[in-house]
Amino acid sequence: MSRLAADLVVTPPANPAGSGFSLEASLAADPGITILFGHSGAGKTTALLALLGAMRPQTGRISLGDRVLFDSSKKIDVAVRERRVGIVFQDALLFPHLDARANVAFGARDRAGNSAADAWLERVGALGLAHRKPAELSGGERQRVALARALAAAPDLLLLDEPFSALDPAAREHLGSLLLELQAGARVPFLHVTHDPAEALRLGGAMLVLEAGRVVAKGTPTALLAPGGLASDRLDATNWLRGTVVADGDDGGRVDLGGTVVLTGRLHRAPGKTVVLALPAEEPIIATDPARGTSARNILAGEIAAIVASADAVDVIVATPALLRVRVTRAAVSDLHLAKGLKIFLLVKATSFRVVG
Amino acid sequence: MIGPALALSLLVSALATAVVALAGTASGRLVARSRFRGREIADALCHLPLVLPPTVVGYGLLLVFGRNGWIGGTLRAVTGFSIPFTWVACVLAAAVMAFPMMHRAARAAFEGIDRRHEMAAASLGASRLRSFLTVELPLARRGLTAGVTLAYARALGEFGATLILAGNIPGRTQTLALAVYESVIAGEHNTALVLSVMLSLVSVAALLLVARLSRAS
Amino acid sequence: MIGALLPVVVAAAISLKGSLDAAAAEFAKASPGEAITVQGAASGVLVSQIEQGAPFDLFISASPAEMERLAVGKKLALGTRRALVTNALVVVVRKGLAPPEKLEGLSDPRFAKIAVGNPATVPAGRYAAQALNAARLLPGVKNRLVFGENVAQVLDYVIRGEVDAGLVYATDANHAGASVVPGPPAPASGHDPIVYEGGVIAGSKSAARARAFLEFLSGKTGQAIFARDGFGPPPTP
Repeated sequence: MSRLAADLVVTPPANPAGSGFSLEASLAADPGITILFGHSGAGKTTALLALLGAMRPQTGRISLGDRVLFDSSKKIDVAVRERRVGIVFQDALLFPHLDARANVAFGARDRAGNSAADAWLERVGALGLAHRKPAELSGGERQRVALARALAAAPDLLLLDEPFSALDPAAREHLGSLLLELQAGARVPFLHVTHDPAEALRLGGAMLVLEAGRVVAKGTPTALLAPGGLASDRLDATNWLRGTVVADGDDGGRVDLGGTVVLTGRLHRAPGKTVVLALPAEEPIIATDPARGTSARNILAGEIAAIVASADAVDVIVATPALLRVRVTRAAVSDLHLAKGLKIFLLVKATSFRVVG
Repeated sequence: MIGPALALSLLVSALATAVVALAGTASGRLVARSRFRGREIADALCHLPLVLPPTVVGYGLLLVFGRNGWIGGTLRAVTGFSIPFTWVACVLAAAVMAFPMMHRAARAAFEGIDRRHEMAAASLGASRLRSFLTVELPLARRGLTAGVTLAYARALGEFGATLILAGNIPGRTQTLALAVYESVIAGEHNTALVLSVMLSLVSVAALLLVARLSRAS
Repeated sequence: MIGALLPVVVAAAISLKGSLDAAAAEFAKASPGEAITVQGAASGVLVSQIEQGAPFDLFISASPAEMERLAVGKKLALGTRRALVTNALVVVVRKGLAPPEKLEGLSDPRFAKIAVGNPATVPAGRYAAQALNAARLLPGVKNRLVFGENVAQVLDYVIRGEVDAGLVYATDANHAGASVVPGPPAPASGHDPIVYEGGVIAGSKSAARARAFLEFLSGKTGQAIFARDGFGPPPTP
């Protein structure tokens, strides 16, 4: 059982991004996919480099399972090559002079390198690419090989630095599924850095939110990204919703958001599967009476949980019981006498839900 | 005059280039990768033979490697061998003058490698040596080849420092470059022409060979 | 230097440079406003440059052979060629080593390396080769010979101890003073007479003034300066 536990204070030398702060964070990850969430410059890459051993923390302690990788008080600093921590970069960063198979075989620790490499290539769906050089591969193919390469070395922790950000949505979806499979097989913690809420919701079992070098929230992606959640306030006005497909057909789909079932457009996904939806906050309509004769397929009964006013608009957080954020004007709030605790109805078109993961 | 000069030039430039290829790669990588204070000073020192007049370098080499020189004196005391006026002196002079070319090219080549490759290699369990041989060197190959080519050209044409340290002894330390000089001064223009053409042919042939080798691997 | 005359440029064998500078200073006293510059190098190098058109006005070589090259190539102003001084060839030995009694003594193994001028391009080297040959030291010491590109370099090797002995002009040995151990002279019969010849370069823009300087060097004052520095008088024609 390799659990990652890290307390770090890292002052990166002359940060070119100019953020100029140091990272002071407590990170923990169990086997599973843990999302490290935050905007650029938040310190995510610094954290990864410190865990990898490429950057030395000023003070701190890093342990993986029962192995201590770093302890400033005991002057322990295990070399990168002995930590058994793997890494996948955003641009794959395969060795350009070696073909795919040689890349994967690089980390193999025994003579059976090449055949083990072929087995890994097959697992990531890239066996046919074994003899191609990285320059001859597409972005998605490179990332498959990069995953195989890192996992072939049997690490106790896998770090992923925004591995899918540079890929198109279709590739992102395929690789996301692959990642879930691989993690289930590897049974070690995967620390996955991203700033994409859809990706966090789809892949993550746990999540840490990093901001200006500090961990500001810990929890599940669903909880943190739900309206009012500590990560959602920092995002644009979109509802990021994770649910389970109840049914899907020509008339559209039906998704259970954990207590609230909504009707959506065609999902192209089998019942039982997870789906991540995005619902812009401007789209739902608040009604004090359940309206009749409208085209909205969803009329959700709910209670106002909070009203958050900002410079531009007012966000009304409604518990349906799944929390949904609705953006309205101040005039609307005063005309309808909206207040916390008020029971209202939300009219939401099925087409307002976009499938993002 | 022509035969021995040709043979000597080929031998000297090949040896000098081999020595410089190793030394320059090592020093270039050291300066590219290290963070020690005085790094820039060390780098500037490596460029010194390029910047100083060759005669100055020649006299400097005499001071260090001459019969009574700092290193040369000890060498003679221990082995009885004296460097000046031997083919060893030719190699030494050529190597010292060609060294900055290799160093500079190597430094640029190693600085151009994305450091994350080394991180990836280390994370996959590669030792420093393995990472250097199987990741860094192949990635630096283009730049290193250019450096070797430049160094070779410099070694072949080396004149000023060789004249001082090795003398211009026909059959022993008279390289093609020195032979050309002598025949011009002595007014033997035909010989000078033949030697110059030979020197050019040898240079071009070697450069083509290096280019061929680097493409093949 | 606006308004002053362009200096007369003299190309001279390097062993003459010191004396020529002194002579030029004396000459300038006699003709105020006159300016002479002296460039010293191996005679072979200089003659090669003159053949390629280097703008010297006067040339003084350490042997007639170089002058002959210019005469044949019609680079000399007619009627200006003359012998100026003579020199002798001597052995010098590095400090800490006992010199040989005679030139033949160089065969002793304690003289592991012997420096001479490059016979192909340096007159002093040619004279040395002749002298060694006459003393029957060649081919015996051939492997111990080291060539300098001019006499100054030969002397320098001896002073530094890079070689054990060298053959240089007597005037150079005088100048070196205590930094070398003086040795025996090479017998004059063993080599061509060391005669320094001078000549005005054809086409020189300062031909008249160059000629005047050459006359001065042949005259009483000029010859006295040379004698003071150890040169011998020109051979009587």
